[in-house]
Amino acid sequence: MINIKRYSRQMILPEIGETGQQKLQDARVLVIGAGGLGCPVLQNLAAAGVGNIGIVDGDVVEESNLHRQLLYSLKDCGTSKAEIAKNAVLELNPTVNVIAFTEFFTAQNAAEIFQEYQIIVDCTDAIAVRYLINDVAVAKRIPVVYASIHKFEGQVSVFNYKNGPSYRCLFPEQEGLNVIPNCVESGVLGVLPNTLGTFQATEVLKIILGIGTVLSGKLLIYDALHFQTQIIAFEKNPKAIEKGFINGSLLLNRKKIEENLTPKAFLEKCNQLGIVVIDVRELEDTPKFEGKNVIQIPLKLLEDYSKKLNKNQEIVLFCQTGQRSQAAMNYLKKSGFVGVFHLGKGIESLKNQI
Amino acid sequence: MTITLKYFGLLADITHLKEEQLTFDEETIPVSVLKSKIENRYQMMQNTTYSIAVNQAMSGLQTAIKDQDEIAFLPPFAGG
Repeated sequence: MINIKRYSRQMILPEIGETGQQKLQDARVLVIGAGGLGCPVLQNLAAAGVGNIGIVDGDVVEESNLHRQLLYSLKDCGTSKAEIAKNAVLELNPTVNVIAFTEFFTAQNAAEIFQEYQIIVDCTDAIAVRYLINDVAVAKRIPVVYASIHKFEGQVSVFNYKNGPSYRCLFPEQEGLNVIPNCVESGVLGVLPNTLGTFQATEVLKIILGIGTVLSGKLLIYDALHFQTQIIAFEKNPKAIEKGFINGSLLLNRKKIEENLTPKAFLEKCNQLGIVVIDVRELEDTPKFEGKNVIQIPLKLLEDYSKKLNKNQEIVLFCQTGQRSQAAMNYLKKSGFVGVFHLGKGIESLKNQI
Repeated sequence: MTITLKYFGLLADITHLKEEQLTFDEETIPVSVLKSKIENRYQMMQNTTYSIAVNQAMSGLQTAIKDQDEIAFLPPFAGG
């Protein structure tokens, strides 16, 4: 049942009509990130009558968000963004089905979260996660409406739309630890994500309705300070698509990854090529556990050490009984690391294995 | 040849410029050669990741650049 009164102003557009409004109602859109970009995306999609919306965000509202994340107010500080955003969407439009995922989008939960959606909106703030989104979306052949920000500039594009190019086609991933700053580090004027998020919402609506020309194979660069826009064309890169497809398929097909490792799983993982195994105990703690991938970084030094690592780096943590390594794992996951494990019950549980 | 170079995001922070025009003796050079020249000029660019577009289209390292072309240096942005 379409609420004609509510949507009349958009339904009288010949490009939309009742058919279009029904398409909006049937659509299933996943918004990953409920921050600067996510807020305007969610407001606009809810208002337009998109019927099913998922919200993914592991963060809580902070005062420094309020200058740009307009779904939130002072009383929300300390509360889960995904939950507050869900409530805000429901207030705007009670007929929307909203699911809030109060967790960060990671390799561990990607397959499960992605399942029910037809369009992904990338409103994240970390490049590692953008590659993760790319890979899962390429494997599932789902379009991704992308935007990103740097100070007064922004980028918008739509990936994987009708066989179009992907994020990796545009920005092939470099190995190495190049740092790309986000809004916390470089700063941002509040209006900017609001503008870009609205561009994203516009593309989502165009995709659902099948109207206009979607920004596929085109990167829009918006400069707010000088009010300039550029559109840069880019093509599919078969190697990049293949890489995304392989990564994504591996992720989707593997059984739910158990991040609390049994002794056996731990020992196997320690031998994995390229893994980093970190002993978070104090340097003098025993028994020692040595191996070619094993390093000792006491818990209090982990934060600094982790800044040198690529967020895609797979990491295994351990300590005496599992408590410190659990805390370390939670910290690294919150920081955006996508493949983190720990020895569930600590070195003590290995006694019979070594 | 004389070409226009445009810098975005982090790269504009490094060069302190949004745009500049440069003249080279050569009539044409491949993107790879321009990349080296610019990274020599702005050393901090050497540790960054970016794609290069010629006349509003993303190009590979072999694409030939000629007089009056517009080259954009495009890093991925992270923020959201």
